[in-house]
Amino acid sequence: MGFFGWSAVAACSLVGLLNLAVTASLTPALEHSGVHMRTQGRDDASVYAAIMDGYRDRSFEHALDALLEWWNAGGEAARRERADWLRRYQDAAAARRDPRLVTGAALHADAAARLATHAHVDAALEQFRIAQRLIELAAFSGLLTSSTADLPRLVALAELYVLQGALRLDMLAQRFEAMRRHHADDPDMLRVKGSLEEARLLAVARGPGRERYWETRAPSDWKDRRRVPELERAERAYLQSLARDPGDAETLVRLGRVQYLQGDFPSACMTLRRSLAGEASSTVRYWAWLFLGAAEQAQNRTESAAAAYRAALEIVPNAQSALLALGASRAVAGDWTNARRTLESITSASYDPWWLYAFGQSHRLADTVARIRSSLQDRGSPE
Amino acid sequence: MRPLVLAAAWIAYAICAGTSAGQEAAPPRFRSGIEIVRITALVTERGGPVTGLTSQDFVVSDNGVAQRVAVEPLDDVPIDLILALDVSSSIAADAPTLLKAAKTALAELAPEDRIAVVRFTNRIDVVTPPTHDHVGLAGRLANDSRAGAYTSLVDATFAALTLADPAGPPTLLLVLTDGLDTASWLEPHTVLAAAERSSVTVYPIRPDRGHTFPMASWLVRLATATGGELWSVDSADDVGSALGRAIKQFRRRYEIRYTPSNGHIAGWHRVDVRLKNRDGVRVRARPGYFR
Repeated sequence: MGFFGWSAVAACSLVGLLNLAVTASLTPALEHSGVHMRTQGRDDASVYAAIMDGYRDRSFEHALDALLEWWNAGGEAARRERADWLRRYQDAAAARRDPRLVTGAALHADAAARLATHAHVDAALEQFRIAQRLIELAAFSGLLTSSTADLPRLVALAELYVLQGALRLDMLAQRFEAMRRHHADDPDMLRVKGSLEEARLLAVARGPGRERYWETRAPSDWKDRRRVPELERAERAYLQSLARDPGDAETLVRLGRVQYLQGDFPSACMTLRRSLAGEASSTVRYWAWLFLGAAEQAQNRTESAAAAYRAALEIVPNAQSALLALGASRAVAGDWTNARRTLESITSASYDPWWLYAFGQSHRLADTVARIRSSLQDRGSPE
Repeated sequence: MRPLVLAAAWIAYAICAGTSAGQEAAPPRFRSGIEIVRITALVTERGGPVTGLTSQDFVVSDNGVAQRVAVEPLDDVPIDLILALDVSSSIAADAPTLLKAAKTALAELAPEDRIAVVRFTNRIDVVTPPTHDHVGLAGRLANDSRAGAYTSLVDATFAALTLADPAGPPTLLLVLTDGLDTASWLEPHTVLAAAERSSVTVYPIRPDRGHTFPMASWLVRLATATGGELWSVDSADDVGSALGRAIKQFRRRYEIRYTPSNGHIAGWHRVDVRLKNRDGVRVRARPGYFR
């Protein structure tokens, strides 16, 4: 073989080596990909086990992708069959005390949260049901360790947060009642209860399935809100939550808001100022300043109200609610020129934390899922 | 604040304060301005507007004190029109029709009239403050059918009120909405108080969905407080003609102006507008103003 012949062999070998290198580097990714699993013709048990192992090994996003692709493959009929298979698998895993039950609970809860953030609420609820069943089996089998002992509570909370985010008040109330006997004194659960009662006073709530609205008890005049049962129940729940977790800023803010709605403006001011003394997210701090402004305004302390609204705008410049509040106080004082100037800062791109308030603690979903994942750091018994 | 009050030109007085021979006259001193109350009134008889009325036909009292008034029909003066368009998800299916209706309403305006537009979901979007550019605005409305999300009806109504010029022409605010509010921050009573302190006449217009809606009583109170009326139409397709009717009806109003003879009394002034010696007519005007 002459020079060109050996050169050709070398070139082909080099290409082959490069191809092998590329394939080798892709294999771990493909290993985690449902496409790879499906095309490899693996059975459901192998696929599901591989997904859970990937999740346990902290390849969270790959595992979630693979789970949802595998779960939804083949359409509705196939999914029902898969659900039946999964129940049998779970029972068998419980019988052999397979620690994958715990991993699976976290995996399905995480999948539910992901589905919820993409507004697939019913699919999310289906995943939560699977997660809850896995938790029950894991608990029954004695598989919950010290690091995973909080998993049932966290998954329950995550489900409630998803329901809050979807404004499924009917289902939220049902699930809360079902969970309450296990978590009666839990401050997070009590906070959800309080928010549920507040949410009942929204003008509308979203119905199950497709968007559908119905009227709730929202009165159009705030004066009707004194001695309203929902507010009384919300206040009670928040006070019970604070008795167990006195420093939670969001609970204090919500309690302050409820006190304002009940017409107890001095108490509202005190509670809201207390909430500002501790640590809180920017969203909660914005709420605190906005609500404090309203409580000051209700007592005709216009300058204090304006200062509170401006403090809110320090946190979220151009927030619509604080700008409207400032503008309205000027208009009611007869200063339409400055009212208009104030509102000129509102743009169609303005973000407003007030819009999140009705959705309860759904803003805590991401943190809760992170805690669910971190509960698996201690892997417990080996397989 | 004197919401219906126009600060007139300052009146200068030359004051000669008893000067003795050889002293120069004191420089002129200004007295505080005289403020004018402006109210628009619609007079109807057997459902139709009554035209051709003059100041001689009206009896106006301010807190029970009769007033000398000047009256001008609006059919020949520039007006300002503010449109507040609900494009939230609850009315999303009708949003293109409502936008088309808004464009149709522009045809009812004269070149010297100005129009402002506010679109709202939970976000408030001032499409334009008052402008004479009807053609440009029509193009923008026709090509923009963004919709969705929640509803800040109360907030958007307030934002629309701020676009009015208290010293400007008579102003009509048309609020196109299905009457749901899911996201407002401002309390309804706050915006009502602001409307009572404005100079705007408000007509909420809503497609009738066949059921009551939460903000019904508030919209009625808002309309009544400003001398307007809540209209329900059978469907979104009828909104365009309702807008046109509302503008035409506004032009059939009279602007009543007077300088209150009962002094600078702060607070709410109840205003009563009637016709002299005329039974069977109905006068629609705002019930009063804040000073």
